[in-house]
Amino acid sequence: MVVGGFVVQCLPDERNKAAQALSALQGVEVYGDDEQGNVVVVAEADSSGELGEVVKRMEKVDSVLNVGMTYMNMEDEAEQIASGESTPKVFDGRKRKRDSLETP
Amino acid sequence: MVQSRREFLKRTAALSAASYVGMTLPFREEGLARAADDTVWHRGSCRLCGVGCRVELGVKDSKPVALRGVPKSRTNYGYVCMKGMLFWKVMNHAERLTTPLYRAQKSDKFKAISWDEALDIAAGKFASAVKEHGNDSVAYYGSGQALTEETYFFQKIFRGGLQTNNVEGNPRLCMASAVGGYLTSFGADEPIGGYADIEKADCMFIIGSNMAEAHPVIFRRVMRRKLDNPEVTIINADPRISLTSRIADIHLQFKPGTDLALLNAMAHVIVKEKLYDKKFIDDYTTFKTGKGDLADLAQYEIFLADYTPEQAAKTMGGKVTADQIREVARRFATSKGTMSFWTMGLNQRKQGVWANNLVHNLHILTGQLLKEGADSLSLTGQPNACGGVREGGGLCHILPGHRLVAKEPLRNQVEEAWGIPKGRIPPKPGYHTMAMFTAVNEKKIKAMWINCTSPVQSLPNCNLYNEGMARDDTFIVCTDIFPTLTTELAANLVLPTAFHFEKTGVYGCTERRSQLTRKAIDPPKGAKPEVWIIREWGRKLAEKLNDPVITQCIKPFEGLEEGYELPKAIWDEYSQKLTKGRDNDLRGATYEVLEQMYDGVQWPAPTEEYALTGGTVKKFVRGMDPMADSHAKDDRPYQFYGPAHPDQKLWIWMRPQADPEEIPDAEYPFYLSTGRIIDHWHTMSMTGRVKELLRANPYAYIEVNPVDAGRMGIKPGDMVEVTSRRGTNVLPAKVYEGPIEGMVFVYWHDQHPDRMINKVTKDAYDPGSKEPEFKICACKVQKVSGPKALKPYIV
Ligand code: SF4
Repeated sequence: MVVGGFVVQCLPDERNKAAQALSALQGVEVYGDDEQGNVVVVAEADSSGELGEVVKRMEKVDSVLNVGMTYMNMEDEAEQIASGESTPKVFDGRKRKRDSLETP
Repeated sequence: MVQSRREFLKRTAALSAASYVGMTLPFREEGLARAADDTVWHRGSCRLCGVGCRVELGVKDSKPVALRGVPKSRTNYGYVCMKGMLFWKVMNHAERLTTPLYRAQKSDKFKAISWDEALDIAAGKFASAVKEHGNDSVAYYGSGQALTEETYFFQKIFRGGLQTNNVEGNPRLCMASAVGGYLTSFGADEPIGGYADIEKADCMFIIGSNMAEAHPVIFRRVMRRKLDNPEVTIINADPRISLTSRIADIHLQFKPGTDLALLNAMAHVIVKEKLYDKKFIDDYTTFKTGKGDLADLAQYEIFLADYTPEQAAKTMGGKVTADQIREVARRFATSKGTMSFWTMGLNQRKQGVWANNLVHNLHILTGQLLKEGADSLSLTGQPNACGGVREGGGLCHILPGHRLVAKEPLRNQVEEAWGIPKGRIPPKPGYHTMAMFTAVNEKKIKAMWINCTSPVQSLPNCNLYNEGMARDDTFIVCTDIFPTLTTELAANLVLPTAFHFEKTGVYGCTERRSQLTRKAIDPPKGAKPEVWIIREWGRKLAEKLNDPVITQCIKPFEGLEEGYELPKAIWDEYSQKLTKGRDNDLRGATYEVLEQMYDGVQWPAPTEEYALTGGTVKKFVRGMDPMADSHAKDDRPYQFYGPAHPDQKLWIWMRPQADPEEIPDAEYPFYLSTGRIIDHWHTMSMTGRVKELLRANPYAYIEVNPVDAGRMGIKPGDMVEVTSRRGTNVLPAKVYEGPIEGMVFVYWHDQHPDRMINKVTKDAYDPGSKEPEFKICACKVQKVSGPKALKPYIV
């Protein structure tokens, strides 16, 4: 599980509309807004990759001008990276790299 | 239990976001504090661009698990971009280098060896190069991402120990023209103001910069300013419409290389309509002809006669009108405060210094400087190009503390500070970057140390220089955290280093601000901080060359623990002995002070007491800058005490429009330009290993204007070949109303041999700054096939 904290910037007049549209997105919770058009949002997802997708969806909401990130926790994923579990396997270049290393 | 941890994290996230905008939520941090006890937060800087955002790395069980912005930091006020949020994921990455690797021949396979063997080989090769081929047969090529302590220590050994000024770094490729511009216009390197002006500016002129992608958190501040004050004018001038253009009130799209005409035409309007600040000019300004002779306003007006808005509009390709140029010039001159921002669009040019001068001219003419909301602010690309390389002595012609190599008294000051014999530092500047790699091609460099950068991918016209680097004539050491194209092609010896937050040191960002990052976790076993590597190597060098002066260079640092004590001692030597009395006086910015600051200290900051206030927000202003008071020559409120202008004035230069080195012709009919994308950093050796960032942008593409695409039958996703006189790439097309008609644009991060755009770019350089013209060359473009499935590629 990955959790992110965001300040979403909207046009001040449209912040209610924006907050509603944001709440409707999967994994997104709105915690408050103010007169300058700032909306405080928390989003959660299964992985940081998916969280990135949620951010993209937030950015696409009409009247959202900018999604500013302030906090991210991904302690579960950190475990996986440390154990080598989540290294991407897509690189064909890696094979070459290993080629340049003498195998003991 | 799982539920409550989740709830806790969500509330922490909400509170962090709310605190940035001063919003009160119906729950408080104190109630949550106990549950957070297991995460320890370590303050430091982000290392993925020149903005200098302050972050806190959350560490749990010795592993990094979270990141948050620092709300009280005056650089980012708590905001962090996605790339910055994810950078720590490379720390425990399985592909980290953890053992020294060696091969005698570059065609051999690497063999893992011990640190002792590795340092012995490195010392032996440099020593024998010096003995057999002379001191200038060795070279150091460093990075704007190295910590100041690292750059400083490397150059100390090369200059004081090995007696060569062959000390360079990749900032030559990005910031050298900005340095040249500041020195020739203001008499001193680095900006007068800083980010704090953004919230006071009423007009922002963004030229040759896609700050929305390259400096996202600063762009956020610019955008916030505009949203809160719709009357603020944003002007964006660029041959390419980018994400930055979204917020522009006026966008000027011009033919690449014609911006000098635009800037002169703006000056033309300002002078003709008498929008300049007469008193400011009389009090503080000198006019200079192109050759540097004294001139006056009347001569300047004559020089500008050729740059009528009508003429400039024509030169610029016809998409901009003369009235737009007038409008832009008027707003620039008459706003309450005007700020300019630029980056590589102006710097990476054959006329890079001139382009910088022409922006500064506009600020000097109108007095849009030195007051709140007004500044001529060059954005830095890398996190420590300013601090480490420009200030710490990381280029071939400068010593620490903005001292010129060529000046004997300044060399002597450095020799004295190091306790080495007078005359030890050679008087001749070393090879600048392009000359250095030419010297590699010519087999003049026998041993080279490449630290934290990948020239095989990042040099312009790289095919040419890679031939030399791949040959066995030059023994090459690379220090890095991951394999790169340079370690693979060019290195004989690869030394694995500690990453950011695994070691301690200072970064200096765009706005003269030095910020400390302390070690938070241990590096992977086998990886070592550079400062340790330099010291151990230095000791072996001294032995092999039987040279007590090298021993003297490392003596103050012997016996110190490498995670904190060693870098602290290096910083103390540099800041206390070598910045004393210089314009970048950092004596007050001790580790003790920097540790207390949420952000850091802006120099000049001669005392700790003053540094604790944050330092100097505006240079040259009496009452705001202690050196403006201590170096005042009269009673005027502004004092330009910089080292390069003996008359202590600002200089307005007559610089003509001039073509780039290569312009399109019948055979190569397009302009090619290159740049960054938000998710990736430079050569992608780090961001390409963060899955989320890689997935967002797995490979580079070529942007083609829809009109050109229509003419050539190129559809989105088609494979397109782009060829210059130097090399070829084949990339998928993005058909997009971005580049102006007749121009294509390619992102430069991709490592794949087919998509490495620096094979195509040109290596002509600015005669003053020696910075290459990455941004403009001529190419031809053709469709080679329909869309193809591509794979990302990382060595
Ligand atoms: S803007 Fe730059 S310094 Fe700030 S978080 Fe993003 S990459 Fe890091």
